[in-house]
Amino acid sequence: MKKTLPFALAFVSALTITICVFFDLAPALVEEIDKWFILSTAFVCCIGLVNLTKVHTRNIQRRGRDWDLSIVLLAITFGYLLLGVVTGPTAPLYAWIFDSTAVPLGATFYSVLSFYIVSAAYRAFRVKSRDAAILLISGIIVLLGNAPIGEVIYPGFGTATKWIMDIANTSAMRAVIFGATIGSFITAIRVFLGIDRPYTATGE
Amino acid sequence: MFAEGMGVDFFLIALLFLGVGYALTRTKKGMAKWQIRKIPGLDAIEEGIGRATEMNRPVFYLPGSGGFSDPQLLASMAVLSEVAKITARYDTRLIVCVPMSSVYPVIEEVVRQSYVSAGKAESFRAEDVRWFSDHYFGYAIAIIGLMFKEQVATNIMLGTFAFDALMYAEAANQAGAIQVGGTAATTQIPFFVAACDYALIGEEIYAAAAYLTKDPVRVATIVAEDWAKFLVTGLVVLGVLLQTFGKADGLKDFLNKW
Repeated sequence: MKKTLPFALAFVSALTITICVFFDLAPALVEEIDKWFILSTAFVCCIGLVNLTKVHTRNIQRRGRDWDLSIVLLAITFGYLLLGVVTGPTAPLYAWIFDSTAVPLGATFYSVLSFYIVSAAYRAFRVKSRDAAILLISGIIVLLGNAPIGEVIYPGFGTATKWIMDIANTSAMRAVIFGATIGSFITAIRVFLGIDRPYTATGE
Repeated sequence: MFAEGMGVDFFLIALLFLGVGYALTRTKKGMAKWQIRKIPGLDAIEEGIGRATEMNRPVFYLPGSGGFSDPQLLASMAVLSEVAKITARYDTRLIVCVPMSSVYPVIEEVVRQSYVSAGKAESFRAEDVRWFSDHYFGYAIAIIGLMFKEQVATNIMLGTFAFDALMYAEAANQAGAIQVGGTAATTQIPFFVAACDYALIGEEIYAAAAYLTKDPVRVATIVAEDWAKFLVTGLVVLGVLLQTFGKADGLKDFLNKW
C-alpha cells in the first residue's frame, strides 16, 4: 500500500496532465492539479523548521560543539518568526531587520565569489594535459578579447573570441543541452512508468 | 484534435515511449544485454566513499536546488539512494544538505530507507540530513561552514546548481575533499569542470542511477535515450540541409502549426 498508492497517484496525475496538455482538454483540471502540488509543497515547508529546531535543541541539550551558537540561531529564528506573525510580513520593522542584515550579508557573501573564481581558475588552468593546455589558451584568448587592452595588443583577439564563443562554445553547449533534455525526458518516463520511484524513498 | 503546435511533440514523445518499451521488452526477454560505457566520475563515487571511510571523515552530498518538477533532482535522489546504501555498508557518516524545505522530508526518507535496505537502520542519523534555510545565501554560508567544521573527505554534488556551485566546490577543496560534481545546467558545467576532481556533464547525471545500480531495466532506458539522440541528430542534420538550401520555411510552418 505504501508503495502502490503513491505510484498510482503519480501515474494518474501525470497521465491526466499529459492528455489534457497535448489535446487541450479540461484546462481547469490541470490548474486544479497544479494548485494541489503547490499546496502540498507548502504544507511540508514547516518540516524543515522542525528539523532545524530538533538538531540545534539536541546540540544545546548535549552541550555539543558551538552549542551557544545554537541558542543564538534558535533565538533569531523564532524571534523573527514571532515578529512576522505579530506585526505581519509588510511591517516596517520586520522589513528593516531583513533589509539591514540579510541583504547586505548576502551581497557581501556573493562578492566572495570572485575570489573563488580566481582560485578555481588557477587550479583549472595549470597545464597538466593537452586538454588543460587547450583550455588555458582558449581562456587567455577570451580574456584578452573581452578586456580593452587585448585589442590594443593584437586586434585579432576580438574576432578569435567571437569565434570561440559563437561557434565552438555554442555548438558544444547545444550538444550538451540536447543530451540533457533527452535525458530529462527519459528520467520523466522512468518515474512515469514506476521504474524510478523517488517519492517512495528507495524506489523499491 | 491536438492542441496547437503539440502534434509533433506528441509524436516525438510517443516515439520515445515506444523506444523505451522496445528496449525494456528486449531486456526482459533476455534478447539483449546492454552496457553503459565507463564514466570515471561515477566510478569515483565509491572510491570517494572508501577514502572517507579510511580517513574516518564524513561524505557530503548536495542534491542541488531543484524542486520536484526538476528532473535533475529526481536523478540526484536516485544516486543519493545508492550513495547512502554504500555509506551504510561501510559505516561511514553521510551528511546531506537540502536547500528546500519542501524537498527535505523526501530526501530524509530516501536516506533512511537506503540505510534500512542495507540492513543498517540503526546507523541512520536523522540529524545528518540537514535543512538550513530556503534563502540561498543563508543555505550557502551554512554549507560552507559545515564543510570546514566536519572536515569532509568526499563531496558529491549532483543536481541543479546556480552561482553557489563554485563556492561549495572551492570550500570542499580547501577542506581537502575529493569532489564529484554533476549538473545539466550549462551555466554551471564549466565551474564543475574547473573546480571538481570529477565532473559529470549534462546527460551523464541522468544515467548515473542506471550506471551505479547496473539494473538492466534502468540501463535499457538509457539505451532508448541513445536511440532518441540518433533521431535528434538526424533531425538536426535535416534542419541544417533545409536551411542551407533555403527550404526550411515549410518545415518551420509545419512545426508551428502541428
